[in-house]
Amino acid sequence: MLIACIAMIILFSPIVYVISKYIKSKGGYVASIPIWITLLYLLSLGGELLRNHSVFEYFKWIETDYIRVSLGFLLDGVSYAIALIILFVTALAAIYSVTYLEHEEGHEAYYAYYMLYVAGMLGAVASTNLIQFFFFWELMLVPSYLLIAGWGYGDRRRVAYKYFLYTQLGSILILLGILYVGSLIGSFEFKDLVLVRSYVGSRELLLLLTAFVAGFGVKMAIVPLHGWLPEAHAEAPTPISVILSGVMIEIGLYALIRIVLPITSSKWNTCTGTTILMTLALISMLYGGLMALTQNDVKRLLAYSSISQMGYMFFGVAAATQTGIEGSIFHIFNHGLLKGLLFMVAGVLIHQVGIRDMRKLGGLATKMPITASLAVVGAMGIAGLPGISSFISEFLIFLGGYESVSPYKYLLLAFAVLSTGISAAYMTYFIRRVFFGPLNEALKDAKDPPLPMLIPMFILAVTAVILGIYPSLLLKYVIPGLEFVKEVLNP
Amino acid sequence: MTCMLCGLLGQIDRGLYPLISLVIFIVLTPLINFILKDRVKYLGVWAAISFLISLILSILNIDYVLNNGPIEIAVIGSPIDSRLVIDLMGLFFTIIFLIVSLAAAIHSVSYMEHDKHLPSYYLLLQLMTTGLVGLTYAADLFTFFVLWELMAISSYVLVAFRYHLDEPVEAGVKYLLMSGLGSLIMLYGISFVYGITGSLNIHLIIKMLPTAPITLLVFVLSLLLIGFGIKAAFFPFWTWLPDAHPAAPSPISAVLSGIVIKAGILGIIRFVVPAAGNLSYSLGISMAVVAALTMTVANLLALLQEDIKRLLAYSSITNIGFILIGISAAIYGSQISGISSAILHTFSHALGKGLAFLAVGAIIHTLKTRRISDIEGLGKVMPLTAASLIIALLGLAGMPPLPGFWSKWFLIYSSIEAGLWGLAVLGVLNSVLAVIFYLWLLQRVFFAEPTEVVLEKGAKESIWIKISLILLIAIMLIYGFYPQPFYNLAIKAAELFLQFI
Repeated sequence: MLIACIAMIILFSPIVYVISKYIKSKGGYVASIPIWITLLYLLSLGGELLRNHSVFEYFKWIETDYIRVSLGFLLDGVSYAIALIILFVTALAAIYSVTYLEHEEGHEAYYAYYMLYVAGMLGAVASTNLIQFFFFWELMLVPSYLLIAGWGYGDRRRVAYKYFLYTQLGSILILLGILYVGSLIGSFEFKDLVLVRSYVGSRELLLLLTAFVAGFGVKMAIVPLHGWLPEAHAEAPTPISVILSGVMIEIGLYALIRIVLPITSSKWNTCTGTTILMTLALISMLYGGLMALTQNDVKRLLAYSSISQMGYMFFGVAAATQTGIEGSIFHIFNHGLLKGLLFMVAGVLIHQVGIRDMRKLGGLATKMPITASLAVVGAMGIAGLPGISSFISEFLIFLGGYESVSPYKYLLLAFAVLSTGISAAYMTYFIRRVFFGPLNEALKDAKDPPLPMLIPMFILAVTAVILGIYPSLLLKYVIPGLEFVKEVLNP
Repeated sequence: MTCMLCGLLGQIDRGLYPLISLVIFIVLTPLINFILKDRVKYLGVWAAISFLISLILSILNIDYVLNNGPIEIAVIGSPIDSRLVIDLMGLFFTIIFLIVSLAAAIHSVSYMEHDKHLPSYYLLLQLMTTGLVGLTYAADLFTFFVLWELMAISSYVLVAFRYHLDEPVEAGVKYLLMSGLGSLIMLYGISFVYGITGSLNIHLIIKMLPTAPITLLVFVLSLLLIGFGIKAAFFPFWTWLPDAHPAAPSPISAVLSGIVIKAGILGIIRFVVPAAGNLSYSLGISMAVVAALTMTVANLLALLQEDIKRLLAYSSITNIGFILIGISAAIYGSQISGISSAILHTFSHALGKGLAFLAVGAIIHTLKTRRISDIEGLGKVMPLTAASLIIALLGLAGMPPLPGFWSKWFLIYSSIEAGLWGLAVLGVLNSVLAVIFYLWLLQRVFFAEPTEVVLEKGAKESIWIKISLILLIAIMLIYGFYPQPFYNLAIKAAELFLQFI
């Protein structure tokens, strides 16, 4: 059925195109319909997932004597949570777009690309083989490029082009790695990837690990491959920033867990391997946090915050422990909720006030109380405050770091915890500068946005709080499904 | 009478029906011309019907050929044992050739409506396609050469069809000289083959040729490769292509770039790849070098073009370089994946380049310009044309869900499998370079403010142009989302071909 869901999302691309010609930006409601249906279907699979630990669909895509590529869809502990957050955030962002884009042009094309973008992300996460994964991985690239280039801000075409360029250069490494792996084991299925280590020596494994981490690292914006992110996320139209930061960059991390870890775990899960990768993650964490502190533009601040948060998630995976990966997956979900929420707050500022520069903002809490309180939830979540879901996931990530085999783990953990302090600093600084302090004269007419913008934000905030109090609501699906990781790490 | 016809047809192998129907339609063309009188532009529909029927017959033949395997038919009365072969490889190319010719014929109805001498235009188009379809059946070099010349001579005239203009005539003469030289070199090579083996039949060539003295073998294979290579526009024999393809009327450019140059590829796969014998190592390496140079240099030159048709012409050369990746992999070691990926990319490129030239045809037809700077912002006025151009270019560059993706990864895979790592890396780099560049073009065509030319002359496409564009887009999307039948055909074709020889 998942194939039908993805096909439906793709087919809605021309349908929404036609409908949006007449109803303009309200096409966002239509665009969200197939996404909601898919989300409901995924939720209904929860019971089966608990029983069998995975839900699997398999079709033949290319079936010849010589080469086989299947079209499979797999939901397990790793992909289920990520697929859920992709659908949840994109459905809400589509509704958010209705008001946000009301004064723009070309809604029909916007929503048509939007559907392809969603289908690409969902397909990549549910894939069961390398070629299929790469197909959807590239499928999400062009629509997202078009969305930034067509409806973004500032020097949007250059920014979108830069985004495309970076990602494509990463794709070179990924494609070569994928095809090398395929030619070694004669299969592209994920479940056969563990076989690679018996075909090649340690040098080839190291080469593969480097190529894949660099290739996927571009999408994940690991420092120093992050050059595209601050600009792209800041200049994209806000609903797209929500998706870029909230769910898209995390797919790179998902690929690391699903593809790279099984291939190279014998190289990765060693003292040197974990130390180097955890250090890389730490650099992203600290660099993103410190840069966020110095930003004046709301969206740039959030973009740098995403680099820092990506560092957290990578830290958990780099530790190569089950707890760490569990925490990372949960954090992907939470980051999707919270960063989505915060970008939507930034979008409210752009839409209602028209100002993104925090030096010109201030005191808005009295004028837009609902937005302000939602922003506080989001900011505290990113800062890792207990009671909001991300506290638990960050805790799990650090616990994973503690369990890792790296000899320097205590030093690394000390810095990682320090970075949480930086997160708290830039987030409180952001809240203070935008919502508190003296009210700027020019802002005295500001008020809360209309409902299509408020409701998605409200839903995201409530979900984050509920998961903060009762995390096993989601974790019960993640933890049993992680057997795959256990097998990979302890062959 | 009908009984006699049926009896006659019964004696002819079913596999030949596509070719025979084309010939019958050619014979009837003057009659139709006489009936149509003033509405002579609808001869395009007639040509399209002939290609469509032939295409349907070819598709119906797939099962027949799969079940009965390759069938050889001796040409009656031939002094040197000419043979036709009906196999899947030929059928695959026939289908490619007919799809692009069909779209080009439909497009011509609108594009050529104001031209004179339309009857000869369509007759030449039909002859060219017949030559192309015919040479897919050739099982010996003589038949191949004769049908090759039928195709080539029609194409010289078609390039220079608008003979009252300077550019087409100049390009046509250049094309004639270069291509004629290529044919001569090929003929010289063929004469050596005959001298060595005493036959031109493919079986005997493959058996006898590798036993020849090594210097002679190198010489003969080089002659054949240069002959095919001039037609297929390898590095450094491509110089005629960027002049000839843009100068022709756009539907003819689509046919030339999409399929005519592929005849050279078919020739190489049929006659050179299996004959390499002991030379496979050195020949594989040298073809790899040619492939690398062809795609890289042409790709870089494409970046400099301001004339959109020249850009597409250079892109054709780049893609020939890509197809050569598969061929060098096939010569070097991994035969099945090399050959099948090469012919798959031939298909992808024929669709993509056909669509691109037809989209440009629509642009030229309404805007009367070929400059890229004049067509900025086209997407706002002629969305279908702009979208076709972009789909075609991104499809060629290898973005999913379009055909280029499916053939390109397979090409790279085959070269990795054969152990040609350098070629694989260069292939991916070139592919990405192409994507990056075409995206920049996309940006100008879609997001820039419309230029004066676009605002002034931009108009909706005519129905014929729309049909031709949508036809190719539809096939590309089917291929993109459901590549199974195409893969299956290509791999079966390669397997059966290797068995056959």
